[in-house]
Amino acid sequence: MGGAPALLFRFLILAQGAGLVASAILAGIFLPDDEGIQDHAMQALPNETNRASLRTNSQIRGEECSMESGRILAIDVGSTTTKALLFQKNGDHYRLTHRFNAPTTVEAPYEDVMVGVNNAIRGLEHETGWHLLEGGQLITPARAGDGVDLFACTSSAGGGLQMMVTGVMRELTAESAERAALGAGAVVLDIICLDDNKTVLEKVGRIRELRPDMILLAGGTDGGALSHVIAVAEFIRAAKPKLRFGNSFRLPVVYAANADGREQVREMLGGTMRVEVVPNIRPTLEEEHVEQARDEIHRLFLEHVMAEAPGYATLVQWSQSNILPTPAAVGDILQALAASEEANVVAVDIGGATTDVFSVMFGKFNRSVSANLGMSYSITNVMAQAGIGAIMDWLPVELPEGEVRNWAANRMIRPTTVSQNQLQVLLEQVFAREALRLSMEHHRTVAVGLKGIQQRRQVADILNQTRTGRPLVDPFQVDIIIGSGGILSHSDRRQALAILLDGLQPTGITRLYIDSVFMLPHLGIISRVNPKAAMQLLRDECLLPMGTCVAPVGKARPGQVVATVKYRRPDGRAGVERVVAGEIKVVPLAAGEEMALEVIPIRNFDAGEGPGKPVYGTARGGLAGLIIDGRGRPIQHEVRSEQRRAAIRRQLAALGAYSESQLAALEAAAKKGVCPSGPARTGDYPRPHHREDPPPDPARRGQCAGGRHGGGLFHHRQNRTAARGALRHRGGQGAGH
Amino acid sequence: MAKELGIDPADTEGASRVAVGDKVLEDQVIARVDHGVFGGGVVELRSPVEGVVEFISNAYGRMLIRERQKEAQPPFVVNAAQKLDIPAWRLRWHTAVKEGDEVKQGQMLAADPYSVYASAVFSPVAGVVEKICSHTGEIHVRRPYRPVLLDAYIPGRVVEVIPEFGARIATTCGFIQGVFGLGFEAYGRLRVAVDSPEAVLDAAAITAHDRGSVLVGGSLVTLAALRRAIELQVAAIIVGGANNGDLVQVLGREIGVGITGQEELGLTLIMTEGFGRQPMARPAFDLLAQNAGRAVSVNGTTQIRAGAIRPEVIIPLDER
Repeated sequence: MGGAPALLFRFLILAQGAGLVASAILAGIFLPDDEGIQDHAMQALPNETNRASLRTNSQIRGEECSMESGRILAIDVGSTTTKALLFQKNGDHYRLTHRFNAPTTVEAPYEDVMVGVNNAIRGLEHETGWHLLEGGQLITPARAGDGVDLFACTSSAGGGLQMMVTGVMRELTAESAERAALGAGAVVLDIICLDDNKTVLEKVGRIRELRPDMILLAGGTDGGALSHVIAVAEFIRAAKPKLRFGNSFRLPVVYAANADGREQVREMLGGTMRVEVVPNIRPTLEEEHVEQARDEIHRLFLEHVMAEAPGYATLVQWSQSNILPTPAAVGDILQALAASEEANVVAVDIGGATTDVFSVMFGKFNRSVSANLGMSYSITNVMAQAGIGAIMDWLPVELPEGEVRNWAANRMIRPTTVSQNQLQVLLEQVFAREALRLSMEHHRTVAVGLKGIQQRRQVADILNQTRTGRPLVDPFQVDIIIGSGGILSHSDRRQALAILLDGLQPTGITRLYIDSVFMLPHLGIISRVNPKAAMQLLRDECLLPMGTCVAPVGKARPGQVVATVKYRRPDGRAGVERVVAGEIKVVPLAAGEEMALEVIPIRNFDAGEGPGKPVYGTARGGLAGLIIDGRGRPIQHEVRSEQRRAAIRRQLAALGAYSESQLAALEAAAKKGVCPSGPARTGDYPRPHHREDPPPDPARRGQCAGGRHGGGLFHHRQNRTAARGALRHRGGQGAGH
Repeated sequence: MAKELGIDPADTEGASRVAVGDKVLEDQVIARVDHGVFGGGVVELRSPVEGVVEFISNAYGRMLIRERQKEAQPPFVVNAAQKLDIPAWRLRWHTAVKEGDEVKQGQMLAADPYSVYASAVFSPVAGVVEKICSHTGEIHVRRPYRPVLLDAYIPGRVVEVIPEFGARIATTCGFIQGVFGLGFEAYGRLRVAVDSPEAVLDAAAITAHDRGSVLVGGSLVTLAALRRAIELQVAAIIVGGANNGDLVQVLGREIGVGITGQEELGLTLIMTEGFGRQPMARPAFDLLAQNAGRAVSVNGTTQIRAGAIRPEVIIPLDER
């Protein structure tokens, strides 16, 4: 790749998953030879436990080598980290057996994504003792204990799939086009339409300047006026946008507009661009069909965009077309989950620069990208949008506003740093709450019904006028919430639960899960080939059940009883809990257990069926159990700061996120300041111990290196320390800003 | 264009005698159509301005020409009194604009709502109202002309001129990269305003003599010092740290994403260490102290994304 594309790439590589920047930097660029990994890993091992874990992995090799099939390698090439997961079939079930992270090498000086992919695979080879590569090629299908049977890949490197969408009217066809592009996993660079208040030259200049990977041209209904669609096509023709990568193919334009304009647009743009026609995404104002446009976007992404990105041709060849943009893969697995559970699902992926929100409501899939809400690059924007007061309100300890501001700003200017002490971890978590809240608000504005449709009204509806374009995500209808991304997957599990509860504020009866190691994209792409395995892995390895939240909505003074929750376990044991305004209660309910619920709210509180009406449901267990949240929605904080902090402390203690002693330690630390030993620097940090992750199944002991099992953390640290060793080996080149 | 030529909009491109990207002169024929002897004969369309053809639309039957800006171009004269059918001396009673106002194309300049036929006069071009004449009854609209003056930013030798784009300038210099900055390119004489990298730069350390200079602070610049520096038109401040809250107060808004450089602060701020009180790195402070009195160039432009841009201090060493 030449200098100019490389420079552009550097600007574009913003990223999803930027929260993992730290590990990418720490992990260095080169992996040392196998001997080096072993040496450095062993040097860095802090105690006998880790040594034992290493031995355990060696021991299990023998058992697993005998398996000759059912091995899946899935890799997510993120903006900063290439995450390789190895799944192994054991009996009827697949298990996550090993994982390895390596830095993504899509940027200069490497400019070849395969360097990072090879590093990740070599890391897995070292851990498993299996040969996965032979002569630079992936061994597939597996033979004699080596290689894999299936290789699948997702990618968001280099900014992912960057699209521009066009339409005639912003709120009609352009909005449908945006939904189609977002659903296909694209980053929507801009929306060009006739009513966007841009001059013609601005529109043309914008298309030219942004250099999208692909354009989705929508606009007009079938049989409607054609001139507007033609006008939009003229803007594209006048702009003659150049490609981001390579020059050997023509810019793909997906024409999903007025069917009558197909030939004319093909004639207009066909000379310089590749026009692919799909059925109109808005054939009438009352209909929206985005599926075929999404499929075409995926096909073109694979055939053209990926084939031209540096190093991706090999990846496409290896994966035998099992490759997708990362968000599209996440969308796939969530839709599969929603279908199998017959539930409405909302998932969030909070990264360093952006936060993605996915929803599947009554089968309708939507995705939104909050481009400037994240935990490092965009953390000050969370402060700007939420207001420093809203963030401070979540703090259980007293801290000067100036210190919180400076800490956040320092995190923003050094996005690859990691928290150095528990107080900084706490600050990260309060920012995450507001980032999630704002992202969810944004999602509700994106996931809306069709606008401009005809509505039939009767005389009786005179006093009940409803508008079109209503939000599709009704909080009461959400059955499952899944939290993913660095801050949620790598925090203490109960602290992650508290973030999820406070940030997304589920209402009614909602099940909560955390993605154990950000495995959703891998499972999404596997689901295209082996849906059964993907669903089994999703349930067994990926989603950590946190429990079920019961949260009636209304306003009451603190201490008032706002609802009664009656529950009955399958063994007949029953109980009654009162929901107290402003408080959280937890009823233990282990993972895999269920109980029947009856929620009876008071007259002005709503649990999902209307004010005062009882609601019946089922609670499923998890790490916390049944969480009874009486804080109302939206959560109102006490005005007086001392009472507010006390309430937050009670809530955190009730969830088990922080014990009294931890809160006391935080209080003492707060008096010394957020950065008692200076600002955070890029470097090592103590990884949180997931103290309540379920212990490994004795039958599987030592087999699983990822997720909820201690081995996963160990291996992750091993990767990092090994790579640090490599850095030392190379003369201590550190990563700075 | 299609309407004036009497053709279908879809034929606009075919009737055009110029293509996108062509330069056209004022009054040059840009489109021509022959309707035949019985259809009205040949119809030509001439360019109203000198410029470049940017866009031809078959959908709307339009051609877009970007006008070339010329300083000496005469103003557009609108005989408003005549159009409103009022005496020239009464023109000011009816104008909706005054001298110096910026007007858009099509914006109302004057109106007479009391006439039998309520009438109004609109600006034919976007520009600035230069003159409303009560003797002639005319309104003069001058099209905006903004010459682009670009400073060299650093002293040095021009090693390359990139036509219609820019120039490359080389210099031997000392270079310090900060972590965060505000404001754009600035330059001035370097003055170290504190005794040590740990010292705080407060308002008392800034005097009226510092106008146009680049001040070096220590670990922190206070809000009062920032305000005084802006008031005294100090060119820039290089300092270890500053409080986020103070910058928000000076800017009048929160610093959202880490993309800066366009702030109209009246001052360029370069932070070498980060937010809060943070002593400047000793090597950076010493380098600045050694070069006190030299003219330095600074740029607060920051972009915290992959391919990051950090603020910079350039100390040209072969100053002439």
